[in-house]
Amino acid sequence: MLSYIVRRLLLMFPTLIGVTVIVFSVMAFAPGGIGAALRSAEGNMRAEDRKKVEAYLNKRYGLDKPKVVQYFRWLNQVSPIGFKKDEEGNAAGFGFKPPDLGESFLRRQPVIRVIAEALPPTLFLNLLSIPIVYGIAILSGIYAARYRGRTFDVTTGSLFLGLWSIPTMWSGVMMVGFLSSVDYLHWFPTGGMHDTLSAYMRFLPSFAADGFHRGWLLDSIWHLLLPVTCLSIGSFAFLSKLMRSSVLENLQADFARTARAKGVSDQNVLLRHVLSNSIIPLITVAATILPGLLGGSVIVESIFSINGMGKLMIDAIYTRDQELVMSETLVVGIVSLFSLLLADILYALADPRVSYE
Amino acid sequence: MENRFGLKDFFLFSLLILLGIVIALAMVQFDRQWTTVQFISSKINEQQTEIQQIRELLSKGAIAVPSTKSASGSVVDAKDDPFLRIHEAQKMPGYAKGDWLVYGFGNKIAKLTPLLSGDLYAQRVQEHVLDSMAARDKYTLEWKPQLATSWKISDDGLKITFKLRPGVKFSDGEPLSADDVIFTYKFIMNEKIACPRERAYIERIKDVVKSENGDEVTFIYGEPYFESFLLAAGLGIIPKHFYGKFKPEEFNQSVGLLMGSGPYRMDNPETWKTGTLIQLVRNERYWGEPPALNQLVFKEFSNEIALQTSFSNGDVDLMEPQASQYYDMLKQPALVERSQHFDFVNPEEGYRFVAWNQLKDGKPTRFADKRVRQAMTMLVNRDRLIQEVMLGYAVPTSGPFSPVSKQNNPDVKTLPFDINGAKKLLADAGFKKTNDQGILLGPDGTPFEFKVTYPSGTGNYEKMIIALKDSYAKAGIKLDPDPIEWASFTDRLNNKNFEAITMGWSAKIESDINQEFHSSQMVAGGDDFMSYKNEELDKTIDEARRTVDEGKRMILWQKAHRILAEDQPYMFLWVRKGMWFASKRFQNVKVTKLGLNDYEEWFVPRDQQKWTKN
Amino acid sequence: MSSASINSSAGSLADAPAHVEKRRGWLASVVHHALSRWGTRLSLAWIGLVAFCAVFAPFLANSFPLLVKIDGHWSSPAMTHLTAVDVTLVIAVFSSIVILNFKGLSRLAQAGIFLVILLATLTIAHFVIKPPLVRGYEEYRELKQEGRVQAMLPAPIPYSPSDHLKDQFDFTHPQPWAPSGSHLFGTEQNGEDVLSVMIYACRIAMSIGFISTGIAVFIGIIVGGFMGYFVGWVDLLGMRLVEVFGAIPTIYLLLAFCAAFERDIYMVMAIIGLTGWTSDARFVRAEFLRLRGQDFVHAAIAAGLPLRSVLFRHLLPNALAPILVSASFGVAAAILSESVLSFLGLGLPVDAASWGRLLNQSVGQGGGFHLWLAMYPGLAIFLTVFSYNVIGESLRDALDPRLNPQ
Repeated sequence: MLSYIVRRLLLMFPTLIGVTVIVFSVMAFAPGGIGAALRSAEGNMRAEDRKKVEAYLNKRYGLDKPKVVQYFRWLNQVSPIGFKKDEEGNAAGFGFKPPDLGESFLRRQPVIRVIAEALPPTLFLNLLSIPIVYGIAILSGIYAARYRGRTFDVTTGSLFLGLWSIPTMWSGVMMVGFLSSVDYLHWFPTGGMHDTLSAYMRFLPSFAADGFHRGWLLDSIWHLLLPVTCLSIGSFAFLSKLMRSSVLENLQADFARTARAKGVSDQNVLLRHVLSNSIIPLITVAATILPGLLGGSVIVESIFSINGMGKLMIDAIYTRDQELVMSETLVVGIVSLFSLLLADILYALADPRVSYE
Repeated sequence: MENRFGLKDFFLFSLLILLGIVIALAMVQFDRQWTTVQFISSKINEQQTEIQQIRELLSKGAIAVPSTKSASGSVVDAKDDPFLRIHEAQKMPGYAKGDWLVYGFGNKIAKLTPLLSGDLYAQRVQEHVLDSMAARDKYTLEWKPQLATSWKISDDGLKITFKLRPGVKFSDGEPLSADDVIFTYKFIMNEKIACPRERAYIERIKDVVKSENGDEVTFIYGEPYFESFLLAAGLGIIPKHFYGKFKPEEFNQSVGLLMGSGPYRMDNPETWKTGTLIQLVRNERYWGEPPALNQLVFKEFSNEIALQTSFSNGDVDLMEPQASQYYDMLKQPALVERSQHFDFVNPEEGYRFVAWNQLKDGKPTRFADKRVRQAMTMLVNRDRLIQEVMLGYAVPTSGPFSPVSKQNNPDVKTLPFDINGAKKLLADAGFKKTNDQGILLGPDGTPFEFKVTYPSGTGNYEKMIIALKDSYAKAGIKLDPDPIEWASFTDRLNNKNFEAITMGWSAKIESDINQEFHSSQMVAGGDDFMSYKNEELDKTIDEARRTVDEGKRMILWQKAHRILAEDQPYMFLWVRKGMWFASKRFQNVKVTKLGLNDYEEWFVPRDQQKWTKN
Repeated sequence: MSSASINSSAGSLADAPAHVEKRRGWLASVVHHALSRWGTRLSLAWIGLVAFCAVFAPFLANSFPLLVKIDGHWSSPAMTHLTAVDVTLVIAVFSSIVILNFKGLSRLAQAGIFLVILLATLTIAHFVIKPPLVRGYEEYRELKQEGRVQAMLPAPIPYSPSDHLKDQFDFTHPQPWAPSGSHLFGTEQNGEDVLSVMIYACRIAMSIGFISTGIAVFIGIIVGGFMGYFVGWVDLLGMRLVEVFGAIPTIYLLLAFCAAFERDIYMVMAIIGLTGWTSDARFVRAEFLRLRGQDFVHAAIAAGLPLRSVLFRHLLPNALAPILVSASFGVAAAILSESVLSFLGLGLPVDAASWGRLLNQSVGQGGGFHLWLAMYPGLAIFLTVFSYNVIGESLRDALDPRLNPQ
């Protein structure tokens, strides 16, 4: 097992380099470069002044170097072992150094800080939707397997397939437009994660002389309800189907048959024996959900104006914010590779029949 | 079954997750409290030092005279009173202090730190926090004293000396002195500070020195330049004791370090994060007349519809809608009833144009012929285009200046919408026959097809291009829309790799058109990307830039305007109107020569105040 | 975007090695079984409708009348304005009907003839058919108003998708217009008729779905096949490549690629195909690796058949049915990807008729929410994606021996 893990860990390096090379070449291919961000940010700048700015930025980020050099410069920057630099930017030998994700051109801030700001909303959104998705998928999967072929099975099967087929932007736009817009129902806020005055709110809802105050917690829930719904509805189909087939498989397995032969009631066979075995595949799948979780739902975030990872990536790509794009891909890549590994390990742990030796 | 994940474990697991969520929430709440407590404690600290200072002053027997109304009132006569408008507002019925202004905008502010941020909205925040030597009066466009009480310009125009106002303090209570002015200059000129843009402007100032007793500062220039006063007078003065304590790299990576001596101050300059609410509170130590509103709140929205909804709900007090939004909002009687709206032509509003590339891949294009360019303009019904695209909230323009600008030549008329006239011009230029697919053929037999490149996803370019496409189709000219992103767009401009391109230029009170039309800007990366050259225009621009006398200079600009209208290097389309929606509870909201008046002049009568809870 | 995970499970569920000897019959029986469900039939009917709209779009929605009598002369402006693609599509459909009715030919020969005809028509049409390029869509409406039209047979929806209603400009009533009698589904912000745009958008939906999935499946089979055949370091390298594409969320790749390349429909197809091949490759590789170890393969090799021939000529066709399943989910995912890109304002040219572009306009740049611009195109995307998913699902069920005891 240990050697397997080490092997997988070592194989991650070529994969990560592959990921960054692909993304870098795409970005390098793209016309534009640093000038884009400048022109949009600086407006009417005189051409000679703009050249000075460009020269300054070129020097700062090494953008005038050949593309290959730029890539290795970035690689050296993010790797924990490499050529060091001192305060003045001069070379200071080779060795261990703190890895640096670089600096966002547009925001002129360290990438790590930018990512640290964008990560919590995305994580929060997804951590809310995962329990909902799992709860509903597990319950409906069990019922569908138990009453296989009956109305419930068929209805949930096609319903979830239908929900899965709904384009996220459609459900998002309809929700924002119909449930949030002042022209229609206006039950929900149109975007963001908090109210303007949320910083001044109490935490819990309260009644005061001037009426009901919803408080910070309720305000957040109110703001998050639509995006979380939008994010969740498409995910039932796969998990529910997986749960159903897993329960079915176990119901037909020898141990279940034996239990029934012993005289255990169907109910008990399902609850005591089958269920615990059937949840295994869902647990292992949970780990593979992580990358998508980090990548953030680009669509949901842009429709509901949530400044998360997905929106960050769109902005970064649009403005050719090279170091931000590269480093965000690297972070997402690392997390997703680790979660795939975790899934395999979990699978082996949960099911003794599986062995990687 | 042992060692397996059982049903019981599953419930246990769920419980654990639940517990985790509860703990996380509790931590969030604790964090919220902690920030508040910290904020309060820092406030108390500040107040304590201030009480200490007052005690010291009192013990010395001096009665501290705050240099506010009484001081400024006695020194400066009414005409030069920088706070004339606020004093007028104070006499209005219902004038009261208190309430907030929540300004919503559909854009993102990456940084508030002065010098580092070039974007418009950051500047709109900064102008309330930073003070400069002098400011333009929005009603008269004259310069009015701010940090300087008076100034004089040497005869050769190379030295500008400002007399500093005594007793001005920064918002943390430290006094503002000539050293801070010099520090600001030196700070910008420091190569390690990431403000190449500011540096490029300020470089024209050779040095800043103070007088012996420190009550005067002198800006020294190397050569006369018509904007030299603006450079010195408009420089936002930053405190030495605050910015001096950061290492250059720390400063470069900061986001919210905004402190100055203006009427408002930032509550949390060191902890503000990108994307969070920007709150400016009234600076109680302000040297001038304190504004009525307690807070200015700047709220970012990532889409326009959310902004509009928030305005309709009353969560936002002030917004600058797009034309279609403005049109939409005016159609809602309830909304119009409880708000006030303004639309006006403003000399600072830029213009929209289509630029015709005259030289591509080293060969003159069909647009090198003036008649073709004129015909292209005459084929477009601009009034209708403005109605279709801008819903009427724009005025057609014949040149690069706003019709209300002094640079504008009122005698120049825009080219008429005249299809037959245009066809005749085209025929003169050799575009006579059409091919079997209905496309006009040029003198060399090539069909008249061209691409208009425009930035995708922003503004209403697409709508405009589609309207143009239909207009040109009537004359047998095929226009292909070519939307590209900003990033690629600028690349095309730099390489002059386009046939026609559309975008907008912003404008200033006095715009320097050297950048766009002078043939010296034809170089790669310059803004004469359409390779336009007219020697007479070049001469006129050069002369105007050297002329210090405003009256003579304006005559020269007007001459340039006439040449441009005749040559049509651009198809000048329109100047957008400024459009604003504000909540009705704000009083004394006026349109000045430069758009809406300052928020410092606004107030809300006591009974209508909304955000102030006390 | 979650489709990738479903795709991969399609492979693992489909363990049906016992039917190798009667593979074609088996494939047919699977298809037959899937078709016996009414859900599948309804889905096929919807896709058929979309395909019909795609082929006959110029006859369904056109600003130029199908037949018109002006000043005593009959003419058909709709016909003269047909483009090469319009003509090719119609000819392709009719020729395929004719070919399918030739019972004597094998399926392969039929496909060959069809391809030849298709290519020939496309080439000839490209050189022969020269419709006017600058069009005045309002021409016949104006002629009618002038009273010069004696008789006219308009298309069922008398608006072309790029007809901006220049003659009906109304300053007090700006675009987009809500649905009304003359515009059943309303208009979009430039004045185009939504129903007409939606009909033309079927072309993009159909072609993007099939072509990009085709590309993905092709790359997947090649890469997966090589990995399964060569094993060793080729496998290791291939798996890294698969991992590289799997480690980045597909939408990031799509966005980055679209930002880098010019707006072009073929580019979008290629990009979607390039980002979606990994699950197919994984599946083919797994299948090859599993089959390599089986006794009958050893026997075949012992009998003198080279491994290559065994794998590619005999085993690959066996894996086709499960690939079909993954392909039908792939088509759904490709259509979704295209509409996501159009929704974000990327990929397709601006004047391309696409459902995603209409959806993008429903929340205007400044204006409010336009329900009709969200509802109808969204519904069309949903129904199409749903149909492909239903077909994929029933094919998968039909393949699953546990659910399908024979």
